[in-house]
Amino acid sequence: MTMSNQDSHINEDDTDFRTEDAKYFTASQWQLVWWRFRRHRMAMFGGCLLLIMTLMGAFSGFFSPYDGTDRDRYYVLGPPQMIKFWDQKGASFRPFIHGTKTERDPETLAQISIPDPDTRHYLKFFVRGDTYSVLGLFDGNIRLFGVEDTKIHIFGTDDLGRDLYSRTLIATGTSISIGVIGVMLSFVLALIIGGVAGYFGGIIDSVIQRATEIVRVVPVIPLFMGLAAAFPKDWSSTQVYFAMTIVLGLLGWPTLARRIRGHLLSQKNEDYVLAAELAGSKPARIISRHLLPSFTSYIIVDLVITFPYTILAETALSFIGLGLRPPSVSWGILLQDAQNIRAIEQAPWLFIPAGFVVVAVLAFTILGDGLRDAADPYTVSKG
Amino acid sequence: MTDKKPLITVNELKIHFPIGKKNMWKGEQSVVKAVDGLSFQVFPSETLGLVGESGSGKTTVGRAMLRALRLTGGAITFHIGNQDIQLANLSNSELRKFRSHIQLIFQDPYSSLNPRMTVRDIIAEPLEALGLCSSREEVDEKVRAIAERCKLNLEYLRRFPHAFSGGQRQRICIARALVCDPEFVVCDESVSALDVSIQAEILNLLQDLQDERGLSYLFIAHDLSVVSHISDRVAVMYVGRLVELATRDRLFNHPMHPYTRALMSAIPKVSKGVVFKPESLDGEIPNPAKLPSGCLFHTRCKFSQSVCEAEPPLWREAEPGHFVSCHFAEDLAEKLSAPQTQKKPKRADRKETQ
Amino acid sequence: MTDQNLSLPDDILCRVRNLRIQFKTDEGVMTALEGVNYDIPKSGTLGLCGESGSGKSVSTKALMQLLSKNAIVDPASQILFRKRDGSVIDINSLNPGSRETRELRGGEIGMIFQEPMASFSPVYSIGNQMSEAIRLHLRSDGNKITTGIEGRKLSKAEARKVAVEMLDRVGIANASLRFDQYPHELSGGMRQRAMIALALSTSPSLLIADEPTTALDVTIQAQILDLLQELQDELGMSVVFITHDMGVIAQVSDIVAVMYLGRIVEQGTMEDVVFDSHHPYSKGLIEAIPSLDKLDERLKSVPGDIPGPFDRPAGCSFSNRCEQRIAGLCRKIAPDYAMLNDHHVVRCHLYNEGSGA
Repeated sequence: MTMSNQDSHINEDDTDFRTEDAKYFTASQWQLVWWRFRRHRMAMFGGCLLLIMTLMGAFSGFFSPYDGTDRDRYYVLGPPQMIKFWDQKGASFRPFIHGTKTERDPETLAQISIPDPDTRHYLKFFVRGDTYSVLGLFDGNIRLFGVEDTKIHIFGTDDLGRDLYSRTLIATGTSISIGVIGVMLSFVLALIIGGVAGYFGGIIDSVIQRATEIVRVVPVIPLFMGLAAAFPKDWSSTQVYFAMTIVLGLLGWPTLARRIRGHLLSQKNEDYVLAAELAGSKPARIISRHLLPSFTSYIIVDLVITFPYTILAETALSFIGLGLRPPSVSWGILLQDAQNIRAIEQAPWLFIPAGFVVVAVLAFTILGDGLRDAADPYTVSKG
Repeated sequence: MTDKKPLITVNELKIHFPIGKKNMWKGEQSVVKAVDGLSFQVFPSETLGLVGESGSGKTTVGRAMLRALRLTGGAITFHIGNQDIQLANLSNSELRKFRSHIQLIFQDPYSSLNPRMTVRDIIAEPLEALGLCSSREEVDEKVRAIAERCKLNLEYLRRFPHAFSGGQRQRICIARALVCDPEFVVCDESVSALDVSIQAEILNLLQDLQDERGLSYLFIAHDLSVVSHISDRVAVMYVGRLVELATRDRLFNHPMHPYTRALMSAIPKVSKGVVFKPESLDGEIPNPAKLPSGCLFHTRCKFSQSVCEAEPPLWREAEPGHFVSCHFAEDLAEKLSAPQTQKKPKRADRKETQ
Repeated sequence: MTDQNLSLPDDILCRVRNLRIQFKTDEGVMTALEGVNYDIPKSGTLGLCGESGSGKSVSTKALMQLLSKNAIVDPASQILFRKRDGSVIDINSLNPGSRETRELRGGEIGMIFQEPMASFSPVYSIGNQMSEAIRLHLRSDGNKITTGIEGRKLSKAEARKVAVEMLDRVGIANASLRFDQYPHELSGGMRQRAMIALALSTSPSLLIADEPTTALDVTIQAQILDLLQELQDELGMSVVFITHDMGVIAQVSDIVAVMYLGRIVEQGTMEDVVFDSHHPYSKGLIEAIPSLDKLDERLKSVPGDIPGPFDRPAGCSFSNRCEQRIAGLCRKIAPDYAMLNDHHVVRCHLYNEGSGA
């Protein structure tokens, strides 16, 4: 046999492989996705933004100086207080805010608070403040910053004197958590329903498709109006919170289910699935080992893209009063206070939570875009 | 070879696909007769080549032999050990267990490997799915053994398919197909997607593995010359039916069916310092939903007579081991010698004849 | 900009010199072609033979200025082409979007592809697409239809007439009926014919055929090869035929260039290259083809795999697979061209004088 000559050629070639190639060749699907994703700077930026937001929302007690129900009688509907490093008295390494004094506004004759340039209140870090609960697990009372003798309101206050910054952070936690829980619930439902429809096809698929269409057609606002009326008045705000989350989840599965079904249908006919069948794999093994991994990255993209919808849905519904109830705090609830002329005219800082919504949705969208591009690391041209 | 007991007997295999909607009033359904009454045998340790052009149904036959498709009619019988196993009668779980005896090597080396599994896992799949080994070490041992035999560096086992070229991937496919020691492997255009210089290596590997293990192959291809190298016997299909089946040497030196002759003379040949001009065959392959009457080839056949349009010819053994389906097979074999092809005229000569 | 100093011998239609093309990719700059030289004879056929990664298609795309945006063509490369009016231009100096290029592309230089379905738009009829090309490139001077640039634009009816004649000429029955049909209504062989009709309706002087029969059944392939031969003789046009099938190359070519990894490794008349091949790769290609003569012999294969675009060996690009490799030389130094006779050129250290082979 003349094989040996050829053998030696082939073995020689292998030592020509560069070591960087070895990393690439042994890279699992997730590593490839991550490498591709890393190149999208915008998406990485969006991801970081979201991470920061989520952390601040989850640990809102630590990052904010007060809890959201504290009222500052001396600073009602007050504008944001600027943190300064220098004023007419000179520079300072330590950041400070000016104190406030009340005066009568010459036009409206109402009591308003204005900054008093003569007093300085220096910021203190890691102060002891009101107790808060960390993720519902334990209590803490260290807060990131605060001032002595007076209160600091870097986003201003609302018409009850509550610190908007603290409330915004709490709202961030609430809104994002509703988004997460709602989407997770949708996802589990969609996985089961879409999975069954896609894998088995036939009549099962047709029936499920029709059911999906019916659910999708339900108009959301009238439904929520009905639900808002239906939620018992004596439910606590927490109960309403969970109920809303569940309802949002139950409404969100059709789109995801359709996508999952689509992925399954497209992958089912690939050669390697047939190869697995011919190798004697049972359907359960084919689904778990071959089909599911093939579209997990796409599903993650779908999930990331669905988040903003859920968050916006909650925001919008709370905004018009059909969602969460006070004293729950979410972006939508905060924006309720901005719903009038007085807010636009006199207290535009009440719109700051809207900025958070915009940033969150944009960040999710950019992140989703980047993930979508990275999600299929195997689309390289052949030959 | 004809005295040995066959490994597989295929009898009047029919696979029809419904197209369009069922006519509600008449209860009729138009069908595409992808495979319409094939009968042949495959013997142990031999390669049966199956040749045909597009629409011939050869891929469908391959899939049917693995029961990846439902049979519309006929029977496929495996003679393994002392048992005769009817493929169509196996239950789903029996079929699953039977898979270790029959395997498939796909055409496209890019889509037939799961990009998210390591090479080791891909090759081990049949062993693990069917529970053929008692321990993970045994699986690893078998995987290593077959990988080495297919000339895959053991380093490769940790890698993912995206690391490899077409030829290497095809070797991974071969390793996967053979790891459970099947008796029969269908090679569905397994070298068609590879570059010419790589094709030869894969064909050689397949032949070596056959010699070592006593495998049988059904080698499906559209390229006659590739099929000819690896096959012991060759069958020619045309629009769902077999037109000729003989040993390789007989088929190439004494083809009886006009279609076979046309196929052979259509190949551009280079041999012994001469370039041969391919002879073209007029017409197109008939629409499988609207087949001609009588002999399916009569619309393009140079020798067709009125009987060809009226009656379909029988599949018969014209000579020992040489089957053909043509009314005039013996007459043609007498009158015509091996297909002669003309030498290609030189460019200058061509201009003169204008 | 036509350089007045460019000229070509009478029997050469197009001359490619030093064609070097690189592509910018995510992983870096890869070299697809490294200084390729070939001549396309007037009214003759050049066969470009090679496998994946050889760069055969890329070189012809450069002829039509059809390269993608991330392609970098060396400005020192020359693609000299004799236009119908006799003038010689350097295609490489033309701007891909310019009017002159657009007149050439589809007008004087036509191209047919491997997959006819991919080159016809599925939403327009065949006739519509042919008319578009015809009206772009042909003109009428009142009496007859010419390929010049004078005269008025053809009317739809005139274009239809030209197209139907062409469809008929390529052997499509019921040409008038087929004119109005959509690509998916035609079979593979007919689509390929329609594509040939489309390319030839403007009477190009050069036709580039990029693997036109690879996707076809062998009986249809024979028909198409016949057809191409007839049309070439009739129109006196030059053809560049790209394929990996040596049998087809032998069939159609007058001159053959064998390409490997962006370089031409052997070039000469068809007889020289096919029957008297010298380069180990050409020899390997020819011997690896299963042929009906040597059925019992074991197929000789070319060992190893084609290196990826970033793994090219220094020195001779074939060195890592060559059984006749000279230790210490082939891997380090790229071989020069060696002239075996007037036309037969090979690029291998075995035949280089002074390399001690």
